Amino acid sequence: MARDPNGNVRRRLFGALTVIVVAIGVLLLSKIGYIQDAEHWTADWRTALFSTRNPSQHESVALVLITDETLDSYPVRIPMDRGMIAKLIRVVASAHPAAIGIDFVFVRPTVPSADAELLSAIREADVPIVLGSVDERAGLIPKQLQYHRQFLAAAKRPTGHVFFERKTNAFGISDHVIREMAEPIESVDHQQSFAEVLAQIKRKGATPHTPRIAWLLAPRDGSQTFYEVEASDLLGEPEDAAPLLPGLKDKIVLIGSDLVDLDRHLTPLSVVNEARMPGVKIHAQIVAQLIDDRWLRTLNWPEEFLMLLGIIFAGYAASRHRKLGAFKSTLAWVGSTSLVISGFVAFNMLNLVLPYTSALTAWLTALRIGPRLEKIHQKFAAMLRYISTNGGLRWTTYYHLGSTLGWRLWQGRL
Amino acid sequence: MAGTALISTTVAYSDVLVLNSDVPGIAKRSVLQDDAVLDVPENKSLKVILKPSNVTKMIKGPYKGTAKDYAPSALSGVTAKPPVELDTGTTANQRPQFKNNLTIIPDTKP
Repeated sequence: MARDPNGNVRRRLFGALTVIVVAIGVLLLSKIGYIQDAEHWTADWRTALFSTRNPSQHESVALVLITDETLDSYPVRIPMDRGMIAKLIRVVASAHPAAIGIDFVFVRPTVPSADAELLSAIREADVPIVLGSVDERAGLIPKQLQYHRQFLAAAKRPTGHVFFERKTNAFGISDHVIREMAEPIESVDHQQSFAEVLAQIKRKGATPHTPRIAWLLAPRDGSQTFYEVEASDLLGEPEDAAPLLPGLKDKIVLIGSDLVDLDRHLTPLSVVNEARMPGVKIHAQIVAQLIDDRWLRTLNWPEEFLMLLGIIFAGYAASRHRKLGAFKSTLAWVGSTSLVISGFVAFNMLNLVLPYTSALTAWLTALRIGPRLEKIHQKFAAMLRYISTNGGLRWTTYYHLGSTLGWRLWQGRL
Repeated sequence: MAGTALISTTVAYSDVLVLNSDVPGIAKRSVLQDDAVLDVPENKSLKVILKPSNVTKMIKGPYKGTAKDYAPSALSGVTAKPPVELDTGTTANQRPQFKNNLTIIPDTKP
């Protein structure tokens, strides 16, 4: 081996090792706790401000919403009057939509005549109808689940599960934000999602490329994201409903509730004003995404590791550069701004949600350790010498080393 | 609203049908001509359907102009969040009065 009197090779090897260790550390940190929360926060703002904005209202999806105004004249609010839902299905079907999706889960009998009327309306409609389904994970009591399955069997229509997916936080309370669709239910014949079954009626083979929901913002012409009417406007006099029906023609029409206290969820768009979105509108977003074949993706672990490695190496090299290294604050600002811009460009052009917080952490850490590498190297070498001269792998050695380092750290002398 | 003469009761080929409104002078189910200038005060809104395109719009005040021209910017929904929100610690059986400041824990579907 060639001689290395100045320790250059060793120092470079130590630099490379440091870059890798920092990349691994930032990657692990990004998957837990508060860094993960910060990551969601920045990604949610990108979603809320830079998601797709169509020129006008979506051409393939419409919503019919049962609101508190709709239910105001009924003696019982929940379970909703099934005669009313039956009438609504008949009115919507008369508009000749491409399909109707019913975003309700029927889990208990009500008035027998109304139950029968609803089943008749579902079976007799001359348009495709898809019903929402759940399984044991919905937390229903066995009797309700049994009724639910019997109802679906009696309806003789395709079904799709109505679950969304919400990531939990391993160390803190999760933020309860819906960002992803749920996987098919393997235990029930590979049951696809409600939205997927509906989208496939409009576009054959429509299937999610990634689980992330690619949200649509309100269109540029000031219209609502989807054609949206209240059920009460369709349930009144036929001449009142007539002007609204052409807007439902040839569309996937989702019937669901927009009630103040039920089935409302936080989404990335809530970052703007904390507003919760009715579940049926989330299904509508997914149906539209699948019909349009839009998708968003995040980096997987190896990709994120490589990205962090590149950022840390760049920061390390810049901070040790003879001229650039003198402008540490400028480097920090320029790097941070570049990362923000890269995040927006990647989101808009590549449908990619870059992990901004971990990238920023990596960049700033690299700028911090670059000029201090020799010092860190010396301390590390001293630590190794200490271990080798004080008994190798004995636990007492590590205890002594740990307590010494800890005490110095506490005193701010490390 | 400027020009109340522009209100009628039947939908023509190119009109604006009011689906919902809390704007004084513009009633639900009224029909406006497409060039009618709406004057929507702050904190008021109306929902309309444009004919013949069959496009629904929720027009939020303050706004003065035609329904067709209403196009808020992408940042129009960005507002300062209230520092505190309320959760109802009860089983609600009717619509609470303070809807706009309410945060509700998600429940199962009805």
